[in-house]
Amino acid sequence: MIVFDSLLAVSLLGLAWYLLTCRDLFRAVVLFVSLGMLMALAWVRLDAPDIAIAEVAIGSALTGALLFSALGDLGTETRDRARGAVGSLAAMAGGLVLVIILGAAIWDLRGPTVGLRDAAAARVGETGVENPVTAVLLAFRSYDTLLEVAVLLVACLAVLCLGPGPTRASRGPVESTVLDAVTRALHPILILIAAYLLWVGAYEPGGAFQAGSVLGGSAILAWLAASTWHERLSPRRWRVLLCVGLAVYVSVAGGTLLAGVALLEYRGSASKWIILGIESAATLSIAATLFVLLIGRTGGSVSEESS
Amino acid sequence: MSALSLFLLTGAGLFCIGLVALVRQEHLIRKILALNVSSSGVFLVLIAFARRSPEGGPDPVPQAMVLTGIVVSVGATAVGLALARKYSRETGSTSLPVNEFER
Repeated sequence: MIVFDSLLAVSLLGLAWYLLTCRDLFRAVVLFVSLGMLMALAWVRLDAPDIAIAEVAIGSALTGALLFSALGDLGTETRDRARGAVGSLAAMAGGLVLVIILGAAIWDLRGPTVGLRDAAAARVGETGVENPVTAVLLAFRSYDTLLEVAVLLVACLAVLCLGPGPTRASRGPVESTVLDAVTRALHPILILIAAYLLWVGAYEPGGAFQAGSVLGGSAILAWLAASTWHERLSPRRWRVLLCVGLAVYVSVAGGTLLAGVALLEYRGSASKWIILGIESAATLSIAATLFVLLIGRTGGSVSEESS
Repeated sequence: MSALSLFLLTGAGLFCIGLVALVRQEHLIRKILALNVSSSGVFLVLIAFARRSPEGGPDPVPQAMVLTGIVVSVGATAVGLALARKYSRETGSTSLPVNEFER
Protein backbone atom coordinates (compact mmCIF):
# COMPACT_ATOMS: atom_id res chain seq x y z
CA MET A 1 0.00 0.00 0.00
CA ILE A 2 2.98 2.28 0.23
CA VAL A 3 2.71 2.94 -3.51
CA PHE A 4 -0.90 4.04 -3.08
CA ASP A 5 0.00 6.19 -0.09
CA SER A 6 2.89 7.79 -1.95
CA LEU A 7 0.68 8.59 -4.93
CA LEU A 8 -1.96 10.00 -2.58
CA ALA A 9 0.57 12.19 -0.78
CA VAL A 10 2.06 13.51 -4.00
CA SER A 11 -1.41 14.17 -5.43
CA LEU A 12 -2.45 16.07 -2.31
CA LEU A 13 0.58 18.34 -2.45
CA GLY A 14 0.44 18.84 -6.20
CA LEU A 15 -3.29 19.52 -6.20
CA ALA A 16 -2.96 22.02 -3.35
CA TRP A 17 -0.17 23.85 -5.16
CA TYR A 18 -2.05 23.95 -8.44
CA LEU A 19 -5.35 25.06 -7.02
CA LEU A 20 -3.76 27.93 -5.13
CA THR A 21 -1.81 29.22 -8.12
CA CYS A 22 -4.09 28.62 -11.07
CA ARG A 23 -5.50 31.64 -12.83
CA ASP A 24 -9.18 30.75 -13.00
CA LEU A 25 -11.00 30.90 -9.66
CA PHE A 26 -13.80 28.62 -10.77
CA ARG A 27 -11.27 25.92 -11.56
CA ALA A 28 -9.60 26.56 -8.20
CA VAL A 29 -12.84 25.93 -6.33
CA VAL A 30 -13.58 22.77 -8.32
CA LEU A 31 -10.08 21.51 -7.52
CA PHE A 32 -10.61 22.39 -3.87
CA VAL A 33 -13.63 20.09 -3.80
CA SER A 34 -11.51 17.31 -5.32
CA LEU A 35 -8.79 18.00 -2.76
CA GLY A 36 -11.41 17.35 -0.09
CA MET A 37 -12.27 14.03 -1.70
CA LEU A 38 -8.59 13.01 -1.77
CA MET A 39 -8.27 14.03 1.87
CA ALA A 40 -11.18 11.68 2.61
CA LEU A 41 -9.12 8.88 1.03
CA ALA A 42 -6.26 9.83 3.35
CA TRP A 43 -8.58 9.68 6.34
CA VAL A 44 -9.70 6.20 5.35
CA ARG A 45 -6.06 5.12 4.97
CA LEU A 46 -5.43 6.46 8.49
CA ASP A 47 -8.38 4.55 10.02
CA ALA A 48 -10.58 7.60 10.59
CA PRO A 49 -13.89 6.79 8.81
CA ASP A 50 -15.96 9.24 10.89
CA ILE A 51 -13.64 12.02 9.75
CA ALA A 52 -13.87 10.81 6.16
CA ILE A 53 -17.67 11.08 6.12
CA ALA A 54 -17.53 14.53 7.73
CA GLU A 55 -14.79 15.72 5.36
CA VAL A 56 -16.71 14.76 2.24
CA ALA A 57 -20.02 16.18 3.43
CA ILE A 58 -18.89 19.30 5.26
CA GLY A 59 -15.28 20.05 4.41
CA SER A 60 -15.52 19.36 0.71
CA ALA A 61 -19.09 19.57 -0.52
CA LEU A 62 -20.53 22.23 1.74
CA THR A 63 -17.44 24.44 1.69
CA GLY A 64 -17.47 24.06 -2.08
CA ALA A 65 -21.09 25.19 -2.20
CA LEU A 66 -20.24 28.22 -0.04
CA LEU A 67 -17.30 29.10 -2.29
CA PHE A 68 -19.30 28.73 -5.52
CA SER A 69 -22.00 30.92 -4.07
CA ALA A 70 -19.39 33.55 -3.17
CA LEU A 71 -17.88 33.32 -6.65
CA GLY A 72 -21.26 34.33 -8.00
CA ASP A 73 -20.91 37.61 -6.12
CA LEU A 74 -17.21 38.32 -6.22
CA GLY A 75 -16.57 37.15 -9.76
CA THR A 76 -13.94 34.82 -11.09
CA GLU A 77 -11.63 37.41 -12.56
CA THR A 78 -8.49 38.08 -10.64
CA ARG A 79 -7.05 41.47 -11.35
CA ASP A 80 -3.63 40.86 -12.79
CA ARG A 81 -1.47 42.94 -10.55
CA ALA A 82 2.17 42.20 -11.22
CA ARG A 83 3.49 40.68 -8.04
CA GLY A 84 7.19 41.08 -7.57
CA ALA A 85 9.18 38.01 -8.47
CA VAL A 86 11.59 38.75 -5.64
CA GLY A 87 8.73 38.78 -3.17
CA SER A 88 7.38 35.48 -4.44
CA LEU A 89 10.83 33.86 -4.28
CA ALA A 90 11.33 35.17 -0.76
CA ALA A 91 7.94 33.82 0.30
CA MET A 92 8.64 30.43 -1.22
CA ALA A 93 12.06 30.30 0.41
CA GLY A 94 10.44 31.15 3.71
CA GLY A 95 7.87 28.43 3.16
CA LEU A 96 10.60 25.91 2.41
CA VAL A 97 12.46 26.83 5.59
CA LEU A 98 9.23 26.50 7.57
CA VAL A 99 8.40 23.11 6.10
CA ILE A 100 11.89 21.85 6.96
CA ILE A 101 11.59 23.09 10.55
CA LEU A 102 8.06 21.71 10.97
CA GLY A 103 9.01 18.46 9.27
CA ALA A 104 11.98 18.00 11.62
CA ALA A 105 9.80 18.67 14.65
CA ILE A 106 7.12 16.27 13.43
CA TRP A 107 9.72 13.67 12.48
CA ASP A 108 10.85 13.50 16.11
CA LEU A 109 7.30 12.72 17.18
CA ARG A 110 6.56 9.92 14.76
CA GLY A 111 7.46 7.03 17.08
CA PRO A 112 4.86 4.58 18.39
CA THR A 113 2.69 6.25 21.01
CA VAL A 114 -0.46 4.90 22.56
CA GLY A 115 -1.83 8.29 23.57
CA LEU A 116 -5.27 8.22 25.17
CA ARG A 117 -6.54 5.23 23.21
CA ASP A 118 -6.34 2.70 26.03
CA ALA A 119 -7.65 5.13 28.61
CA ALA A 120 -10.66 5.83 26.40
CA ALA A 121 -11.21 2.16 25.53
CA ALA A 122 -11.23 1.20 29.17
CA ARG A 123 -14.21 3.42 29.93
CA VAL A 124 -16.20 3.39 26.70
CA GLY A 125 -18.47 0.78 28.28
CA GLU A 126 -19.70 3.32 30.82
CA THR A 127 -20.89 5.74 28.17
CA GLY A 128 -23.60 3.60 26.64
CA VAL A 129 -22.22 3.92 23.10
CA GLU A 130 -19.76 1.65 21.35
CA ASN A 131 -18.16 3.95 18.79
CA PRO A 132 -15.10 5.40 20.57
CA VAL A 133 -15.18 8.67 18.60
CA THR A 134 -18.82 9.26 19.54
CA ALA A 135 -17.95 8.38 23.13
CA VAL A 136 -15.17 10.97 23.16
CA LEU A 137 -17.33 13.61 21.46
CA LEU A 138 -20.48 13.23 23.51
CA ALA A 139 -19.36 11.70 26.77
CA PHE A 140 -15.73 12.28 27.67
CA ARG A 141 -15.33 15.67 25.95
CA SER A 142 -18.98 16.64 25.91
CA TYR A 143 -18.21 20.19 26.99
CA ASP A 144 -16.14 20.78 23.86
CA THR A 145 -19.01 19.61 21.68
CA LEU A 146 -21.41 21.93 23.51
CA LEU A 147 -19.11 24.83 22.71
CA GLU A 148 -18.83 23.63 19.12
CA VAL A 149 -22.61 23.76 18.71
CA ALA A 150 -22.50 27.25 20.20
CA VAL A 151 -19.77 28.29 17.74
CA LEU A 152 -21.92 27.15 14.83
CA LEU A 153 -24.80 29.23 16.11
CA VAL A 154 -22.55 32.28 16.51
CA ALA A 155 -21.24 31.83 12.95
CA CYS A 156 -24.84 31.66 11.74
CA LEU A 157 -25.70 34.87 13.59
CA ALA A 158 -22.64 36.58 12.14
CA VAL A 159 -23.62 35.63 8.60
CA LEU A 160 -27.20 36.82 9.20
CA CYS A 161 -25.94 40.13 10.60
CA LEU A 162 -23.72 40.78 7.61
CA GLY A 163 -26.65 41.80 5.53
CA PRO A 164 -28.34 40.38 2.47
CA GLY A 165 -27.07 37.04 1.37
CA PRO A 166 -25.73 35.98 -2.00
CA THR A 167 -27.56 37.49 -4.96
CA ARG A 168 -28.13 33.95 -6.16
CA ALA A 169 -30.34 33.50 -3.14
CA SER A 170 -32.81 36.07 -4.37
CA ARG A 171 -33.14 34.66 -7.85
CA GLY A 172 -35.53 31.94 -8.84
CA PRO A 173 -34.85 28.21 -8.80
CA VAL A 174 -32.58 26.63 -11.36
CA GLU A 175 -34.72 25.62 -14.32
CA SER A 176 -33.81 22.04 -15.02
CA THR A 177 -35.88 18.90 -15.46
CA VAL A 178 -32.89 16.77 -14.49
CA LEU A 179 -32.52 18.67 -11.21
CA ASP A 180 -36.24 18.30 -10.49
CA ALA A 181 -36.21 14.57 -11.16
CA VAL A 182 -33.02 13.96 -9.19
CA THR A 183 -34.27 16.03 -6.25
CA ARG A 184 -37.58 14.21 -6.19
CA ALA A 185 -35.76 10.88 -6.10
CA LEU A 186 -32.91 11.83 -3.79
CA HIS A 187 -34.57 14.04 -1.21
CA PRO A 188 -36.41 11.33 0.77
CA ILE A 189 -33.40 9.02 0.51
CA LEU A 190 -31.12 11.72 1.91
CA ILE A 191 -33.43 12.26 4.88
CA LEU A 192 -33.41 8.52 5.51
CA ILE A 193 -29.62 8.41 5.27
CA ALA A 194 -29.37 11.26 7.74
CA ALA A 195 -31.62 9.43 10.21
CA TYR A 196 -29.54 6.28 9.75
CA LEU A 197 -26.25 8.11 10.28
CA LEU A 198 -27.67 9.65 13.45
CA TRP A 199 -28.72 6.28 14.86
CA VAL A 200 -25.72 4.26 13.76
CA GLY A 201 -23.25 6.78 15.21
CA ALA A 202 -23.43 4.97 18.52
CA TYR A 203 -22.08 1.76 17.02
CA GLU A 204 -20.34 2.52 13.73
CA PRO A 205 -18.84 5.62 12.12
CA GLY A 206 -21.51 8.29 12.02
CA GLY A 207 -23.13 10.67 14.42
CA ALA A 208 -24.82 14.03 14.74
CA PHE A 209 -22.45 16.08 12.60
CA GLN A 210 -22.45 13.68 9.70
CA ALA A 211 -26.24 13.30 9.88
CA GLY A 212 -26.74 17.05 10.18
CA SER A 213 -24.60 17.74 7.15
CA VAL A 214 -26.48 15.19 5.00
CA LEU A 215 -29.78 16.68 6.14
CA GLY A 216 -28.49 20.18 5.41
CA GLY A 217 -27.37 18.98 1.99
CA SER A 218 -30.87 17.70 1.25
CA ALA A 219 -32.30 21.09 2.29
CA ILE A 220 -29.88 22.84 -0.06
CA LEU A 221 -30.85 20.49 -2.88
CA ALA A 222 -34.52 21.27 -2.31
CA TRP A 223 -33.72 24.97 -2.31
CA LEU A 224 -31.88 24.74 -5.63
CA ALA A 225 -34.82 22.97 -7.24
CA ALA A 226 -37.63 25.05 -5.76
CA SER A 227 -36.13 27.97 -4.01
CA THR A 228 -39.02 29.05 -1.78
CA TRP A 229 -39.43 26.12 0.53
CA HIS A 230 -37.54 27.91 3.29
CA GLU A 231 -39.89 30.87 3.12
CA ARG A 232 -42.84 28.74 4.11
CA LEU A 233 -41.42 28.39 7.60
CA SER A 234 -41.98 31.43 9.78
CA PRO A 235 -38.98 33.28 11.23
CA ARG A 236 -39.92 31.98 14.66
CA ARG A 237 -39.79 28.42 13.46
CA TRP A 238 -36.39 29.08 11.90
CA ARG A 239 -35.13 30.47 15.19
CA VAL A 240 -36.37 27.36 16.98
CA LEU A 241 -34.65 25.10 14.45
CA LEU A 242 -31.39 27.00 14.73
CA CYS A 243 -31.34 27.09 18.54
CA VAL A 244 -32.83 23.74 19.55
CA GLY A 245 -29.46 21.94 19.48
CA LEU A 246 -27.76 24.37 21.82
CA ALA A 247 -30.88 24.68 23.98
CA VAL A 248 -31.13 20.93 24.53
CA TYR A 249 -27.41 20.68 25.20
CA VAL A 250 -27.43 23.51 27.75
CA SER A 251 -30.53 22.01 29.40
CA VAL A 252 -28.77 18.68 29.80
CA ALA A 253 -25.75 20.49 31.22
CA GLY A 254 -27.93 22.40 33.67
CA GLY A 255 -29.75 19.18 34.53
CA THR A 256 -26.54 17.41 35.46
CA LEU A 257 -25.47 20.33 37.65
CA LEU A 258 -28.87 20.38 39.37
CA ALA A 259 -28.66 16.62 39.90
CA GLY A 260 -25.51 17.20 41.88
CA VAL A 261 -23.04 15.45 39.57
CA ALA A 262 -20.25 17.06 37.61
CA LEU A 263 -21.04 19.09 34.49
CA LEU A 264 -22.33 16.86 31.69
CA GLU A 265 -21.58 13.73 33.67
CA TYR A 266 -23.86 10.90 32.63
CA ARG A 267 -23.13 7.20 32.48
CA GLY A 268 -24.75 3.83 32.06
CA SER A 269 -28.05 3.11 30.36
CA ALA A 270 -29.41 6.64 30.78
CA SER A 271 -26.30 7.97 29.07
CA LYS A 272 -27.17 6.28 25.77
CA TRP A 273 -30.57 8.00 25.57
CA ILE A 274 -29.24 11.35 26.74
CA ILE A 275 -26.61 11.19 24.01
CA LEU A 276 -29.23 10.23 21.41
CA GLY A 277 -31.46 13.11 22.52
CA ILE A 278 -28.61 15.63 22.34
CA GLU A 279 -27.54 14.30 18.95
CA SER A 280 -31.05 14.46 17.51
CA ALA A 281 -31.52 18.09 18.49
CA ALA A 282 -28.01 18.88 17.30
CA THR A 283 -28.70 17.23 13.92
CA LEU A 284 -31.67 19.53 13.32
CA SER A 285 -29.71 22.59 14.36
CA ILE A 286 -26.65 21.67 12.32
CA ALA A 287 -28.76 21.10 9.21
CA ALA A 288 -30.58 24.41 9.67
CA THR A 289 -27.33 26.26 10.41
CA LEU A 290 -25.53 24.89 7.35
CA PHE A 291 -28.50 25.85 5.19
CA VAL A 292 -28.64 29.39 6.58
CA LEU A 293 -24.85 29.76 6.23
CA LEU A 294 -25.25 29.09 2.51
CA ILE A 295 -28.24 31.27 1.69
CA GLY A 296 -27.51 34.05 4.17
CA ARG A 297 -31.04 34.52 5.41
CA THR A 298 -33.75 32.61 7.20
CA GLY A 299 -37.29 32.07 6.04
CA GLY A 300 -40.22 34.43 6.15
CA SER A 301 -41.07 37.05 3.60
CA VAL A 302 -38.45 39.29 2.05
CA SER A 303 -39.91 42.36 3.73
CA GLU A 304 -38.95 41.25 7.22
CA GLU A 305 -35.20 40.98 6.69
CA SER A 306 -34.57 43.16 9.73
CA SER A 307 -36.12 40.70 12.16
CA MET B 1 9.68 5.79 5.25
CA SER B 2 6.41 4.41 6.54
CA ALA B 3 3.01 5.55 5.32
CA LEU B 4 2.52 7.35 8.62
CA SER B 5 5.65 9.47 8.26
CA LEU B 6 4.64 10.21 4.67
CA PHE B 7 1.29 11.59 5.75
CA LEU B 8 2.90 13.57 8.57
CA LEU B 9 5.24 15.33 6.16
CA THR B 10 2.42 15.82 3.64
CA GLY B 11 0.44 17.57 6.35
CA ALA B 12 3.36 19.88 7.11
CA GLY B 13 3.76 20.55 3.40
CA LEU B 14 0.07 21.38 2.94
CA PHE B 15 0.24 23.78 5.88
CA CYS B 16 3.20 25.66 4.44
CA ILE B 17 1.75 25.77 0.90
CA GLY B 18 -1.43 27.27 2.32
CA LEU B 19 0.52 29.77 4.42
CA VAL B 20 2.64 31.02 1.51
CA ALA B 21 -0.47 31.34 -0.67
CA LEU B 22 -2.28 33.22 2.10
CA VAL B 23 0.52 35.77 2.22
CA ARG B 24 1.14 36.14 -1.51
CA GLN B 25 -2.32 35.88 -3.06
CA GLU B 26 -4.48 38.98 -3.13
CA HIS B 27 -7.99 37.91 -4.02
CA LEU B 28 -10.03 37.39 -0.87
CA ILE B 29 -11.46 34.06 -1.99
CA ARG B 30 -7.95 32.80 -2.73
CA LYS B 31 -6.95 33.72 0.79
CA ILE B 32 -9.89 31.77 2.18
CA LEU B 33 -8.97 28.80 -0.02
CA ALA B 34 -5.41 29.00 1.29
CA LEU B 35 -6.64 28.98 4.89
CA ASN B 36 -8.73 25.92 4.19
CA VAL B 37 -5.75 24.12 2.64
CA SER B 38 -3.65 24.98 5.71
CA SER B 39 -6.37 23.59 7.99
CA SER B 40 -6.43 20.38 5.99
CA GLY B 41 -2.69 20.08 6.54
CA VAL B 42 -3.07 20.50 10.29
CA PHE B 43 -5.87 17.93 10.39
CA LEU B 44 -3.72 15.47 8.45
CA VAL B 45 -0.92 15.83 11.00
CA LEU B 46 -3.35 15.33 13.91
CA ILE B 47 -4.99 12.24 12.42
CA ALA B 48 -1.59 10.77 11.57
CA PHE B 49 -0.55 11.37 15.18
CA ALA B 50 -3.67 9.46 16.22
CA ARG B 51 -2.44 6.45 14.25
CA ARG B 52 0.94 6.19 15.93
CA SER B 53 -0.05 3.31 18.23
CA PRO B 54 1.96 0.14 17.52
CA GLU B 55 -1.00 -2.20 17.12
CA GLY B 56 -4.73 -2.06 17.70
CA GLY B 57 -7.04 0.79 16.87
CA PRO B 58 -6.33 4.51 16.49
CA ASP B 59 -6.53 7.06 19.27
CA PRO B 60 -10.07 8.47 19.20
CA VAL B 61 -9.33 11.76 21.00
CA PRO B 62 -7.44 13.54 18.16
CA GLN B 63 -10.06 12.21 15.75
CA ALA B 64 -12.82 13.84 17.77
CA MET B 65 -10.78 17.06 17.86
CA VAL B 66 -10.40 17.05 14.08
CA LEU B 67 -14.12 16.42 13.62
CA THR B 68 -14.77 19.50 15.74
CA GLY B 69 -12.13 21.35 13.74
CA ILE B 70 -13.76 20.54 10.39
CA VAL B 71 -17.14 21.81 11.55
CA VAL B 72 -15.69 24.97 13.07
CA SER B 73 -13.63 25.67 9.97
CA VAL B 74 -16.72 25.50 7.75
CA GLY B 75 -18.36 28.03 10.06
CA ALA B 76 -15.30 30.26 9.85
CA THR B 77 -15.22 29.94 6.05
CA ALA B 78 -18.86 30.95 5.86
CA VAL B 79 -18.27 34.04 8.00
CA GLY B 80 -15.14 34.90 6.01
CA LEU B 81 -17.02 34.65 2.73
CA ALA B 82 -19.88 36.76 4.07
CA LEU B 83 -17.33 39.41 5.10
CA ALA B 84 -15.68 39.24 1.69
CA ARG B 85 -19.06 39.64 -0.01
CA LYS B 86 -19.92 42.66 2.16
CA TYR B 87 -16.50 44.21 1.51
CA SER B 88 -16.87 43.66 -2.21
CA ARG B 89 -20.31 45.26 -2.22
CA GLU B 90 -19.13 48.27 -0.22
CA THR B 91 -15.90 48.97 -2.09
CA GLY B 92 -16.31 47.18 -5.40
CA SER B 93 -12.91 45.54 -4.96
CA THR B 94 -12.11 41.90 -4.33
CA SER B 95 -8.83 42.37 -2.52
CA LEU B 96 -7.65 44.38 0.41
CA PRO B 97 -5.81 47.62 -0.40
CA VAL B 98 -2.08 47.00 -0.76
CA ASN B 99 -1.03 50.21 0.92
CA GLU B 100 -2.94 52.87 2.76
CA PHE B 101 -2.82 55.33 -0.12
CA GLU B 102 -4.95 53.12 -2.28
CA ARG B 103 -8.70 53.27 -1.58
